[in-house]
Amino acid sequence: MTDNAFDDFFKNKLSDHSSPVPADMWDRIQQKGGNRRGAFWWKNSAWLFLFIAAFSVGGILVLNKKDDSTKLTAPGIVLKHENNAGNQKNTGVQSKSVIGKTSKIELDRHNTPVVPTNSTDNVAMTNRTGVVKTDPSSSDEGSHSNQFRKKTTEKLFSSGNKTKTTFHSNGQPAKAGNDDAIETAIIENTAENDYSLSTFNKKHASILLAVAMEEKPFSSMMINHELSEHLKSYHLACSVDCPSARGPQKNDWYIEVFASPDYARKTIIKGSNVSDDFLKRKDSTETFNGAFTAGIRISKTLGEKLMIKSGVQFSQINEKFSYKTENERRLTTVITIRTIIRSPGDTVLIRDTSTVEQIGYRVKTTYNRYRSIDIPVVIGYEWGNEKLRASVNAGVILNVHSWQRGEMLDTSLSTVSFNKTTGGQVFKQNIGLGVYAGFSVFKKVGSNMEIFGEPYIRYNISNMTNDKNPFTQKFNVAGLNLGIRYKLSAMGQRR
Amino acid sequence: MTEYEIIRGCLKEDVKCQRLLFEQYAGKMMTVCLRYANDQMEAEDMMQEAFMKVFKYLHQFKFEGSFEGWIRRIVVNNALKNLQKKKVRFTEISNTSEEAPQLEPFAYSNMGEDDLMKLINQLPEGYRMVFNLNVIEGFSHEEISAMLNIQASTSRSQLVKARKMLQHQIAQLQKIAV
Repeated sequence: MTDNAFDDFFKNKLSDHSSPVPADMWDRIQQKGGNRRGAFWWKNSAWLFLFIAAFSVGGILVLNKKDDSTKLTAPGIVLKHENNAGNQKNTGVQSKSVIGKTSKIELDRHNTPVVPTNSTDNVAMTNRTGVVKTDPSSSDEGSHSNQFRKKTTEKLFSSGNKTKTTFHSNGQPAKAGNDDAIETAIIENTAENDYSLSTFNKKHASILLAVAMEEKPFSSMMINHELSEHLKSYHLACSVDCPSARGPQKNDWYIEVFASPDYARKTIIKGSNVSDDFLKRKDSTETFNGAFTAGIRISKTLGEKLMIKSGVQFSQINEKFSYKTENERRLTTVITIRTIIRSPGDTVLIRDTSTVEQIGYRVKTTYNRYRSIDIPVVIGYEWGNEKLRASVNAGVILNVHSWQRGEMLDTSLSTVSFNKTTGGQVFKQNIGLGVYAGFSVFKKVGSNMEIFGEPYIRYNISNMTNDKNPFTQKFNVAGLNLGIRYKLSAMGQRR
Repeated sequence: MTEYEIIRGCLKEDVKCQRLLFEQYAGKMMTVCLRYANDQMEAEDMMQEAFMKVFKYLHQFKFEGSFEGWIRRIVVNNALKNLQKKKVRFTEISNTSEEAPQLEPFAYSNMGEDDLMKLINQLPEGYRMVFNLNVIEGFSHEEISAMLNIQASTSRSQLVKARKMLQHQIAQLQKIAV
């Protein structure tokens, strides 16, 4: 039989031959095809977990947000209640004529801005006229004052009829530095002494705020801040972040949850006892195979635009180690059995044993992991408007712990493994300090929630290998932090 | 449904048409994968990957020539790509026998497709690839040399040795059968 006939025989037999297909093959193809359409990083369960965790934390923070709009206690506010439509001397901000009795809220401003609950400020309450009047010579306790204050202020925001606001300061126009009590607001009501929320409108709010902003004492700031909280809840235009007496120093706290796909660049420097050939072989066996960082940071404003950020983050760099060993031999033993019938009843069974040797490569593939837990300490300079903000960040990253797992070549070109326990012989378990620089863009997505993107670079100053190693190695990383920033409840305005 | 309608349906990502196309060609393509793979598992992986590529690149089919040939080419290319990842070495295998046995035509008469598949699967990887590409798929040695990044002469010698090994195996089977 010729070679062509031999080939044709095989071709004719096999070219249209069908083999049985596993029953679940179609399902597997469909499943894989569906996965392919998804975003590439969803394939990585670690990424999925981190993003779910990040959004869960954000969701919990939003859901657990306390509604503190009912709080309205301002230490240092003394209320004055007067029935003196005729005696009232306005500072020019009166908006409506008096009808019947007048309720007057007076903010007592002293040189000492903080007024404790048991303050010795004297408050006189004249029941006959329904007036609470501040009088330095009076001996009434502050608690009495607070009780009334609370009652009145609650009425201010909860009752139902017309109100009117007037500002004056003991007959003198209000100005900074006046030691006397300054009447900042007069709320007029009807004969039933009933107050209206609906008429406590933007105008009144802005007047209250304007006076507080002008005077800038702590008491004013406090009421300003707390009024703002109320006004927010009633959808009135008002800014919470008012400047303090020393300028615009905010005291905001944020929590940031982020994750980043990274690119890590490895730098290897050979020692004196290492050949170039070894480094080339080592370099050819190790290829970057993805990296990521995930973490959580707390940030706090320093002044108006500076922020300090710190937290904890986890980083992982993946590397594919692929090494080809040559001259691998595989022996296959073939046993053939044949029978020879020499005559009827005389059958001989013959077993022939032969071997086939196959020589080839053996490729060994291992995925190396370099993991670390770090503490970033970053200073940021932030600017922008309510909706969109940007920030430049710089700082250091302090390594807490590093551990590695995988395989690598040693100087004799043999494969050696390193893991969490033995890794310490090759790699350090603390890689020291790194320098961090980044640029963030924040987009507001809720009242206290922002999403952000932050491209960054991390330069590790020291090597990750031990000193006794014949070469030094370190990774420098670039990445893109993606995450959410949640503004925690303000800790109070700084003085 | 005609082949044209099935392809059109697949282009519209109609799952029913995709399933029909798969069922129509799965058996033949499984044979192709089994001829190149080392075992059943590897063949299944190749098959799965190849059909995903078929659906992904179906829009590139110009309706010129055989559609089965187009799919087969994808399956073969995918199989080669998988095998090349493993760095197949086209090495000489020591063989004590110098001459290929002369087989009579009747020696093949009782051999079915499954027997031939088994024989092919017993060939070393290099032999098997060249034999499949040249004898079954019909590629020339020059084309094979370009596809596998080897010399054309290597391809020729691998084919001769593959053929010889197959003939030896058939002869052995013949002896057993006698």
